[in-house]
Amino acid sequence: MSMSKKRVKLRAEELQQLKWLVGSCLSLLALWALSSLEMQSSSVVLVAAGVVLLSIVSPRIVSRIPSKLWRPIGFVVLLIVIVDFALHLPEFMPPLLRMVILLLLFKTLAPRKRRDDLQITVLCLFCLVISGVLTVSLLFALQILIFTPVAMGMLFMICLLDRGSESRVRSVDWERFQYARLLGKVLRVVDYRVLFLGAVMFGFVVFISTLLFILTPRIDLDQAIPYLQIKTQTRAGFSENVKLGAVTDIQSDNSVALRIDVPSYEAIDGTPYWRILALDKYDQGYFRLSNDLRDRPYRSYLKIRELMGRELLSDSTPRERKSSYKWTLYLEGNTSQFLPLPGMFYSMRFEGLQDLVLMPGQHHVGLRSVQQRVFSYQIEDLDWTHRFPAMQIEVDAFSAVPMQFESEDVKYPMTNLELNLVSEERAYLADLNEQIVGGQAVDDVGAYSKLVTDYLWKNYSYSVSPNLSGNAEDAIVRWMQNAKSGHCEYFAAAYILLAREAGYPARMVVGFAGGSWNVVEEYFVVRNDDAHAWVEIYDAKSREWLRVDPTPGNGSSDPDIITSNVPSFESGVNAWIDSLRIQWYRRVVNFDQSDQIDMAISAKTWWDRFSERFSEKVKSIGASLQKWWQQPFSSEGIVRFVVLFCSALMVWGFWRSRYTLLGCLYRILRRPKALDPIRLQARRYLRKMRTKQVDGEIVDELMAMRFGPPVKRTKAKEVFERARKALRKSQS
Amino acid sequence: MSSKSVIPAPRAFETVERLRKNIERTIRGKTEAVDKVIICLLAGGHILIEDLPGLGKTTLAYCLARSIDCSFSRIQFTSDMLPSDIIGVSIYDEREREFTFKRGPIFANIVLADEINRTTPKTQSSLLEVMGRAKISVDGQTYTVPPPFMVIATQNPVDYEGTFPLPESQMDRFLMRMEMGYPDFKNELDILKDGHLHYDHLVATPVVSKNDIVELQTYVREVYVEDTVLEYIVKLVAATREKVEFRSGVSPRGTLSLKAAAQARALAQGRAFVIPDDVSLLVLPVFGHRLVLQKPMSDPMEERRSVEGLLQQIVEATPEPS
Repeated sequence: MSMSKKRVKLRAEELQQLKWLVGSCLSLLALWALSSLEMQSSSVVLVAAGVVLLSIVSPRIVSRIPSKLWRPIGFVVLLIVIVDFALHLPEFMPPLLRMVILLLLFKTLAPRKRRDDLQITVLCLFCLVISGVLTVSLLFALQILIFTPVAMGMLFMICLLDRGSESRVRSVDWERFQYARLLGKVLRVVDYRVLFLGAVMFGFVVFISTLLFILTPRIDLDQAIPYLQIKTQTRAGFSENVKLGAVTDIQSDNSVALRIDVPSYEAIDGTPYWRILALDKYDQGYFRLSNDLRDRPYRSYLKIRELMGRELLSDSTPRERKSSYKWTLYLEGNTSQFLPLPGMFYSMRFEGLQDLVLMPGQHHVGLRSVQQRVFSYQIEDLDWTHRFPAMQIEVDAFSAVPMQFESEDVKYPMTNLELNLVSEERAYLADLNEQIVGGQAVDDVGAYSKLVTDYLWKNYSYSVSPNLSGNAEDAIVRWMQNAKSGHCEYFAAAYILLAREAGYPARMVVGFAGGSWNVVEEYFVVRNDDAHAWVEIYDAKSREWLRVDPTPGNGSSDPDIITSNVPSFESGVNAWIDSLRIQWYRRVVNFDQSDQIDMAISAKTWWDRFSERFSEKVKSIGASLQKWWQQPFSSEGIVRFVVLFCSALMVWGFWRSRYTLLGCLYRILRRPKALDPIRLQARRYLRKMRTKQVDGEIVDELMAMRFGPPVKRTKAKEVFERARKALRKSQS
Repeated sequence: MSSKSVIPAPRAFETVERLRKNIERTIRGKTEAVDKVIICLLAGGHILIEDLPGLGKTTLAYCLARSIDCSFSRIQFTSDMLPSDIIGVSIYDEREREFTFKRGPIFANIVLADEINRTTPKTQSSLLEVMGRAKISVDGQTYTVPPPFMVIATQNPVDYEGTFPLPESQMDRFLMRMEMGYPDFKNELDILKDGHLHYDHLVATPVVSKNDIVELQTYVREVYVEDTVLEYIVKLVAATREKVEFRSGVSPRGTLSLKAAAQARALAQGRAFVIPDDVSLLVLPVFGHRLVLQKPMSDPMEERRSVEGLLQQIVEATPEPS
């Protein structure tokens, strides 16, 4: 039975089927990679993935398409690609990706020769690399890890088929195809040694690529090659034109928007406010940046690698460096053009040269375009603050006598006072101001702010979905008159309207408030549902913009009292998965080559120390040998030498006579099932021969050794020697 | 281990090969059947050939006897046969004034007992006694059958009208049971070309001497069986006893028979030791006739097939020593 054990083999046709399916899986992987590039053709990706999935689930359907049809389909695909390029030509990337998708789909579905299989493999790699470069997401690592073994298997199968006669088995018969049968057979066929070798090879590839990954200098491919950049849009709530409710829309998304590597947990402010954009102009339910702010002199454009904090504070005295703590912020792609900044800082660094937009008065740093991939920046010596110095031009403008400005063309600083309301509404606001302030003497902004905030908290409660009714033209006034509850934007807007009516310049600020602490890797996480809107009001006394958060539940009503809340903690599986991402970012994102250099230096010092120690050791051994040789023999030395020699002899002797000794041991123990060592060894060889399908006299001899009458040890050794040779021969 | 005479395995193989080739000149394409008969002969056992008439059972026995240069007799069993018809009878000799024993056909080296189930149990049992002991006691005198002694019994498994089926205990005496089966197309064509109709016309010259066979039979008992292989045999036997489908398992005689048959096969293949394949390939012929199903079937052929199926299951389920 065991002699005649049949070896299951895959037929060429089954191998073809397997290859076809693995190829389809590769193209599915490629489509997955492309789908993580958020672009307009995501529906194309989805449809293509659906078709490929269908073809994998039931290959029969695709095989029924007559093969003559594929040539005209190829022409049609070519035509579509040309037209697509012609229509979108200045844009290069989206049509290119669409072309890749179409090509993948065509190659996957059409009958494939060896050439096509190789093309699919290369295309898949191309897609993975492109999406990896553009998104820098953790998925890239996962996809590459999946791709490597699958592609290795694919190439292995192509090699196998190449040795066989592929040309003869042209069309694969899918009609009687069954997954269970094929996979079962594959399971039976797969040899654990092949799997082991494959795993070793895979490990080797991963090891080498990790090494390369650590050692190669980082270049931003998309920075280097401009046409690889894909333009996307900022979130509506963080744009330069925010409609009432847009910030609250962001809150419905629970995904992470910002991760911050913090010097320590204590360094985070009690209630961190991540300021993104301050909007000065109010117009009928819209807060926007006034036109003046969209250009010089309020904006400047730079292309730099490191930005000093004083460049945002051109009007006031330069800020001294207080500490050298570094904060690294990772802003997820497609979030905002302007970077969340919690306060003033000493310097800010980027990966490579960046095209920046600076708005010094608003204390904003933005990018020229919204990034699709994660964007990282490092801030040195961050100063949490709720007061930002105002520009000289603002101070001058606001210190002038308040004036009525209902003209069409209001210039910048004055937009912070502009109301754009009809007179009844203004009257309503004025009445309300009167009512709030009453007869009290309000000597500064803080006191006024506290009164207004208290009023708002007393009369309105927080709700994400306020019900609006009434007939006032302006949305905010309507809300103030009729509603009982609203979200942060209503509170902030109502505050601004009241403040402006009372003559205080005020502006709306959007960004994030709060966040949570990831316990696993110790970093701060800000999610999109932390999106928030608050107010900055001008404090004429200190010539600063003062942060006020009129939304209930976010601290004290007095703007100068900063309460500290304990942020929520993230732990558990999700936090762990998220922490993988930050580890990935920490490794991928590199502000300079310093840690690579550090690594190289530490490796070099390690090697130097090791070689130094090694040579020392060798030298000391040599010296002691020489000493030993030169000194006269002592009795102790001779005894030691004899003991050493005897033990070496014993080891050697044991090795020479191991069969005899083990045989003796066997006879002493005599367990019922134990075989004596020669039989055991013969059995081992026989098993090897059986798996290697070695035949011939040597097998008979081993059989005699195994089942025959006991033989002499010397004879056995000789046979085993020959068996070893035969095995080696069969391997080569 | 103990001192053992070295078995001249290559010479044994050569002898057996000569015998096999000689038989196969006449019995075309039945290598397996011929092998089994030779194994039986070497093991000193008897064989029961069960098959339809005209398939060459008699021819096989005759060829075997003729190739060995030994005596051959054929007994056609009928229902009116008496034990003395087989064993022989003491006749009063007028001249000597005493009873002299007239030897029956059983006194031959190879005895073909044709259609053994046609005769009465009495006669059957007299034959079977000889088979067991290779000795005959008549009127207080004991006669020894000359070695080698082998009975080749045949029976028709289909035609059961007016037969006396052999009881289990007597089936146990046979070392093996086998069937011949039809020859294939080419071999049947060869048979036609040869044109022999009756076995008496066959010209088989002896190629092996009687003494050779006796010598081989002594060697068979010395063929080495390793402990794990012995354990394997016992495991197989134990498995037949555990199978609930059988009325009872294989007897210790069956165990011994399997060992002897395996040893004979090893020697026939020129080996001085038994390998597991010797055992596993002989389980069916050696155990097949010793087992009876718990629920008897109406058709004996069907019963035989299901017994063999169960045995095959046992062989597959019992792990071979490797």
